[in-house]
Amino acid sequence: MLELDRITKRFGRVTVADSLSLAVRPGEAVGVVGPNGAGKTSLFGIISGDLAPDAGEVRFDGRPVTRLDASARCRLGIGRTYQVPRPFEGMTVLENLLVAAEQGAGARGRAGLSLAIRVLAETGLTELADRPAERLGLLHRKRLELARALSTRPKLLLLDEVAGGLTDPEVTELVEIIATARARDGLAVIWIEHVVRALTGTVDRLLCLAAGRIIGDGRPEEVLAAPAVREVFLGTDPR
Amino acid sequence: MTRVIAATVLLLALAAVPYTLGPVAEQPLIGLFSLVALATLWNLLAGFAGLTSFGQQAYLGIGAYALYLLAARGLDPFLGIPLAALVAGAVAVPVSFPVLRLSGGHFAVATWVLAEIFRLAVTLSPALGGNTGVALPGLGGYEPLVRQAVTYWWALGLAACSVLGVWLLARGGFGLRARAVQSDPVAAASSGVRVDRTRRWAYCLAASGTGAVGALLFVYTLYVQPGSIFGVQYSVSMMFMVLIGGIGTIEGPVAGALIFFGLQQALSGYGPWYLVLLGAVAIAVTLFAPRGLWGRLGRPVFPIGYRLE
Amino acid sequence: MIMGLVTGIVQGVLLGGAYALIACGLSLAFGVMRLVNIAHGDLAVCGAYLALVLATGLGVPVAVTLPLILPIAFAAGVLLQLVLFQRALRGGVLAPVLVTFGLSVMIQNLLVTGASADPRSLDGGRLAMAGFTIGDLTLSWLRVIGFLLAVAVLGTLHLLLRRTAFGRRIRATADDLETARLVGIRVRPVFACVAGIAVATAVLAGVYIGLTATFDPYAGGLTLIFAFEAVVVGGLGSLWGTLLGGIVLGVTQQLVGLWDVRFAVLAVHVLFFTVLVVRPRGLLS
Repeated sequence: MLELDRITKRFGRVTVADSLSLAVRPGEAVGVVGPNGAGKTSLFGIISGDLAPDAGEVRFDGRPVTRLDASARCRLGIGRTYQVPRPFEGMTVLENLLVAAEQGAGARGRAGLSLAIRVLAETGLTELADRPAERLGLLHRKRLELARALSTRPKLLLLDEVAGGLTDPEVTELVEIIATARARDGLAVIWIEHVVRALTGTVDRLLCLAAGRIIGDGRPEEVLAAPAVREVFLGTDPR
Repeated sequence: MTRVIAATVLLLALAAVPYTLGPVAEQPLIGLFSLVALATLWNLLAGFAGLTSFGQQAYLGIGAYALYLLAARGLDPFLGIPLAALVAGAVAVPVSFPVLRLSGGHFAVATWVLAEIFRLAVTLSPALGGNTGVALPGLGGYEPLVRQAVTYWWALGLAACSVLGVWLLARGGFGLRARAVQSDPVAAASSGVRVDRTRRWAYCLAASGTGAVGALLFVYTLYVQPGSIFGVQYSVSMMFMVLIGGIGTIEGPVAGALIFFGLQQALSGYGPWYLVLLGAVAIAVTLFAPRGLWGRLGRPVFPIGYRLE
Repeated sequence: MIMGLVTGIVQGVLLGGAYALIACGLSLAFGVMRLVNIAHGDLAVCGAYLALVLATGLGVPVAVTLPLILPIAFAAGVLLQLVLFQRALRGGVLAPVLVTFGLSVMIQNLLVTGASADPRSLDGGRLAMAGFTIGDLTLSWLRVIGFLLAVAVLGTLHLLLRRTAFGRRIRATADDLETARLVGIRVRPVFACVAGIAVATAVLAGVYIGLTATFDPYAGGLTLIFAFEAVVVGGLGSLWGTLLGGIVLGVTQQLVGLWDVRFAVLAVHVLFFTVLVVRPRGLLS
């Protein structure tokens, strides 16, 4: 459903994507690991449309989307979260989800409201529905980030370190929320995470990125055992 | 329901002013109503779409000069007001493409440059009276008292329509989108919001309404000069009213217009010191009370937004 | 005809230097702090008034007042940053625009109360009158010095940013505020210095403008607009782009002025909008 075809992106002398190609099938769950500066978040930017690649093509559902902006790609079914949550401050939690439901999922009026209310319940945010987003703590900001992405009713969900900074039980809860959404809607997920433990139980496929290239791609345990992958983690054990 | 009744009663009472209080009250109220409309429209831009324009005077001028051209061709000036609004809105559409490529301070200065372009163009155009300005033709048929009363009703109508219109926009889907764009345009885009389109609507609607106010000011003063109608002072006062009243609310700009009007009446004799004070208050409110007076003290009469309850 | 064109272009380049001199502080403050200082032009005008007061008060040439004025300007910039801009930058997207606009209104009207709205000019002494000729071309020393001054200031800023440890700290902060904090850069003094430098360059430009033209308390608005146009035409955040932008504006103004002087300023504004449509990221990017 998602295909990246020889994507290249440079910032000055730093290469964040080096003729990178990747295909993700419908319903697949792909984890992404890699050292800092490997190009993980830039990869999301290129997929979601926040970043324009210097060369290469992005295809979604078989059609080229390289020239579409982030808004159009979201409406086609690419939802994303940001590593540092970017809630709409000055709006309530419910309103945050309503924007995504009305605009991203195209559910206007009552349909939008019921979609937002359903996602609130699924993500455990119902209690906080009327709270202004700027008054949320980190855990709830991370949840709101996920909930807003889910409210766009994505076919492909890009998760950028949604578990970072959370405690173990919080991570478990978050993983469950994502698993439930996947089970029901059959959405594909690409998930960047430093907490590899959160990934290994969830994803069927793991990518390791370094210096804008894919240096490992396969079943999680195989990728993590590969020498090239162990080397970029500089001897530290990613597990 | 009580709110609707109260608003209707207030509107009817204000509409009856020419018969009750008469011309003495009309003059200051025309000024006040145009301030209410200007502040409300600036708030549509800055408070909802996150666009701080310092160039709305461009559309005041376009509205006024459009009215001049229409009236010079024999159209009744009062009927020309809505047409002037259309002209201002139509000018804003092509203009919005370059200026909306910028945001924040860059957008602010670019809109200001735009107003300068229009001012210079009018100054250099003999058909529009150049630097000396033009008088409004076509009002000779009205008795002075009738003319002022009709002007008054137009001012009241514009103020009421602006407040009501911006409220209806803000409480619906448009308001939701605009507030998301204001809060974080990048996140708004990746939630599916068409950021440019939302901003363009806000910009063009505000331009159109401001054009109507420009035409109204022309009808009221009967004379227009590029140096004053295209003056950046208008943007200073719009910003001041919105900030002090409460940016991003419906009541804020109305309250701000009342305060500004009061200060103007009380302090304008002090000349520049009065403007120094305005500047200082604008800074203090932005830094220490960013929600403005209404945001601090008042309760929403015109609620916007969605609640689960 | 050809000679007229050559004169126009040379004068335009020299004028462009002056625009770039005003604009570089604006460009620097935006590049490092993301601050668009709407009061930048008014601060420049303040510099011209300060030079006027000091030069007449002490009875010395304007140039002699500079060693006194520039440190004051730097200190004023630091103070503005610490008291106003810093808070404003924390207050979201709108706050810096609104605060600096409020500051602009205050400065203009304080100048009106202190110095009246009458146009003034600075007395450049013999230098203002002196000129030299190359072939058929007559040039004013003052304008040539102004242009060289602009190049020198831009060059110094460039070296400061590229070649010094302080410059590396500034660039690191500009690239990524959070990371800069993490690696132990104290952002507050860096920002304060940048604001000080920005105001000092503005004031220097203001004094130069005061020597070449008349100014009044409201001159800051148009000064800001020209500086801003130079920054955008050249390309946001690039110092040499700002010089190029200033030169393009200056040459346009002079050449159109040859044809009809009334259209000169209008042409500059229209050029700015054309660049915005055709090359929204500026000529050098």
